[in-house]
Amino acid sequence: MRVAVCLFARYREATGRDRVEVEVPDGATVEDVWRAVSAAHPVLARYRPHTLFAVGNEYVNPERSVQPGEEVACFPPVSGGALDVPGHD
Amino acid sequence: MYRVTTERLSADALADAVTVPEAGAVAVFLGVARNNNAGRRVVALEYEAHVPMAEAKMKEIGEAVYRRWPDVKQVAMTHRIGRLAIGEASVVIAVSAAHRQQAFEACHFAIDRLKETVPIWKREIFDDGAVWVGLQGESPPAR
Repeated sequence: MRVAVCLFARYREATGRDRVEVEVPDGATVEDVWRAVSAAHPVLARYRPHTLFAVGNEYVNPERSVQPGEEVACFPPVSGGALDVPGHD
Repeated sequence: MYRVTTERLSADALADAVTVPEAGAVAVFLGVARNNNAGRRVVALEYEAHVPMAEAKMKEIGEAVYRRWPDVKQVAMTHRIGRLAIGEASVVIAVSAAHRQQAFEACHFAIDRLKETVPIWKREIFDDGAVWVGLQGESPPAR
């Protein structure tokens, strides 16, 4: 099946794409989708230990299987709010 | 009201949005773009969001506030995206409650939770480059 993947922040910037499509077997997991995306865009591979995943508006585990038609979002740890990120100042 | 917007945020508008006759206190928090971080001069900030998910997550935070503080009357959260000049508000949260303690506590909770769970990312713009804010080990070295 073909899965659409949305990329944000430094993932979007590193790949130059905010949306990519990958081909994965039926029953593929979110992690499988990530592997396909990072195979097509190896610049992403080093970010994996901290990558967050979402389907729709919900965070999901990488073990979750992806249903046909679902869109997967991949992104780095969030950093909204003001500048006082713990460990950053 | 839970909104991600490219428009300038108004603390007054958000305070008005949560003001109800039953509330004796309105707490408003503004996160503001600061001109320095870790010893470097920041000239602007840029925010990016997964907009529908960010708004859904902010709504969940509001619902968690209502469950935890029964005397809270209204919660409103707005986050700006795009490029912000120094001194402009990136986030505004307003909470009304019967009494001030619950309003303060709930507002504090809401901003802490927002920073943990709402999919928004910040980039610091310097005179000579830019860097995404986040885990230092994950970021490329600052240029």
